[in-house]
Amino acid sequence: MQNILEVKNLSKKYKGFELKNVSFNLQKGMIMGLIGENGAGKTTTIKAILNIINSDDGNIKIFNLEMKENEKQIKEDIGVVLDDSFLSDYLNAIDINKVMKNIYQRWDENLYFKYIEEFKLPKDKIIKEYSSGMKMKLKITVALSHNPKLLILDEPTSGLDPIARNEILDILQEFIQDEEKAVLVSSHITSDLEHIADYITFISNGKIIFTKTRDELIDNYGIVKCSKEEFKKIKPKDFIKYKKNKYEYEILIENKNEFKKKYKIDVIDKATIEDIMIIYIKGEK
Amino acid sequence: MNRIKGLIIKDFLNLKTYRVTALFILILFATVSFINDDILSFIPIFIPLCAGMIGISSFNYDNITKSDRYILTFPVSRKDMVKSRYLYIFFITVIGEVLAVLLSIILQSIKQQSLVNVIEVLSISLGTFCGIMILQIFEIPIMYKFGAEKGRIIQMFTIVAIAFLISGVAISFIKISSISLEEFLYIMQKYGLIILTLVDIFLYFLSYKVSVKIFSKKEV
Amino acid sequence: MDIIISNSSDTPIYEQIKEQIKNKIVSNEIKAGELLPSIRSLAKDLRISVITTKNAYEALENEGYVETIPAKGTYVSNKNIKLIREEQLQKIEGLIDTAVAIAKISNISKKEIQDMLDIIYEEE
Repeated sequence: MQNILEVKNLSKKYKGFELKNVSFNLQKGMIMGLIGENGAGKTTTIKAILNIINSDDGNIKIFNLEMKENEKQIKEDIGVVLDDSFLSDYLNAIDINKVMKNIYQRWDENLYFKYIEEFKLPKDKIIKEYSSGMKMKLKITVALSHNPKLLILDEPTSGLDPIARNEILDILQEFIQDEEKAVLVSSHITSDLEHIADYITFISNGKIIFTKTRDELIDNYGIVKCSKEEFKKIKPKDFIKYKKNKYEYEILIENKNEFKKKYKIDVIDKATIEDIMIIYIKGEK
Repeated sequence: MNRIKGLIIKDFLNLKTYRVTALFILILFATVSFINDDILSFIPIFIPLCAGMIGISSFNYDNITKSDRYILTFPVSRKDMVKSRYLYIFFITVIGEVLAVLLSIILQSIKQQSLVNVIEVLSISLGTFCGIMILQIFEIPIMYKFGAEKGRIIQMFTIVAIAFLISGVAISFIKISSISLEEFLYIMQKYGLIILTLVDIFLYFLSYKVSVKIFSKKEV
Repeated sequence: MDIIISNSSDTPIYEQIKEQIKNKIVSNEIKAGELLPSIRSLAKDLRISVITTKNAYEALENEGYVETIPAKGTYVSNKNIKLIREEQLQKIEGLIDTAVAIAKISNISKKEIQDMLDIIYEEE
């Protein structure tokens, strides 16, 4: 299947933080969740992909074109939602259309107002008076209204109630219905991505820990809970990391079924993405 | 070019919330100057000055929503952004200027019921305009360099510094070129506006180049 | 068509989907030649990942229950319905075997079993 986005060896050094050799690919028709703790480098990665910050090293290809050389052409086909930044707080939905139809060559006014109606967004209220859910839906509307092929969203569900979050996940799944498009969405609310994301890319402390399909993670990964004695019997090559709690050991394993064949331990739970994240970050080997 | 137009439209639409305040200030200025019988030293100076300040305030609007970062996700270059900002500030200052000229002429003709000195109004306005532009030549790169928050404070010092700088340049010019003060003032009176305008245009362009350079390295 | 997915179950979601669609094909709820929902729309409606749905369909295809025609969609396959029926018949035969064996041990008559069968069958 064809890649829509290729990130290769992306590196950027800041004081106190470094993005190190970040690489991953996103294929057509797929939703990729970019997860990681706050400050792990999710936003920096997204900014570097979009050439908003100059990376020190690395290469970005979007729609099979080099980003640095075809920036304007590529950006005509990308829709972006940023967590904490937008056009202005003092415009209303009608004003935004007036601005945006000059920005994108393929801006679709009718589509824009169709979404505005569908999401029940008031047209004449300034954005400052919107609720956070409405604001996010407006941002997504703007990101969708020039018919992009790639949607990049930075924390689109943070600060929203479950109902609004649900609606946003619906929009994303609707977006990839035709198989030519793809979504890259970062979030620290992992349960949102646990359902709809096809791929999960886990970034921690500026480095990619893994990119895996959702099914690989949820169906195979497991959390073993056991006593100290039982833990001592487990070979290091059979688990990823462990976390010592007050009353038990929590051990992250890559394959529940194989583990069950080798060891006689009763409690093996399904691992949620959150569990995996926590043990990777907090656990030891 | 369309994209730059879009960004300028954005800045103008941001002003919608200003409408009532702006109208109020305008009426206030008109009334005060009318009563004080001092139309020419008030209207053509303060209205464009306010317009220029409103223009610079676009940096504050951007700062509130961090719109620089968002705009860079569009097919818009950093250079486009700086260009649109310069054009917007220029346009809004011109609008303030035109408004001031019209208002001066109207108020004068009501008051004096005689021939209005249009030449005087225009030369005062052009003088102010050049002055405001000199301020902006420094203000805009400062805003890009230090951001809207810090920029505002630094800007105040700059205004004072510019005043000293200009008088300093003038004084040293007199000293070096061994022209008397009277001669200098005479020259300034006769050619001052033309010299000022030409220097302004050159510096405005230079200021734009500097801003592009600053903004292209800025982390947003 | 109902597909019910449990997130807390130990059975992987793709397997849950596979089993449920299989049961519907076997029970003739979905008929041979019928078009299944597209991978993407099913994923959307069940709010699950596209790859999960794809895995389920691929497993069904491997077991011969469905066929995918590129650019058209996934259909319930025709040729295998007979085979499936045969499989089911064999399964029933096996179960009846056990039932009869138990009956013989316990001296339960053929008539009694037939009556029981009638009642249970009607109940369904």
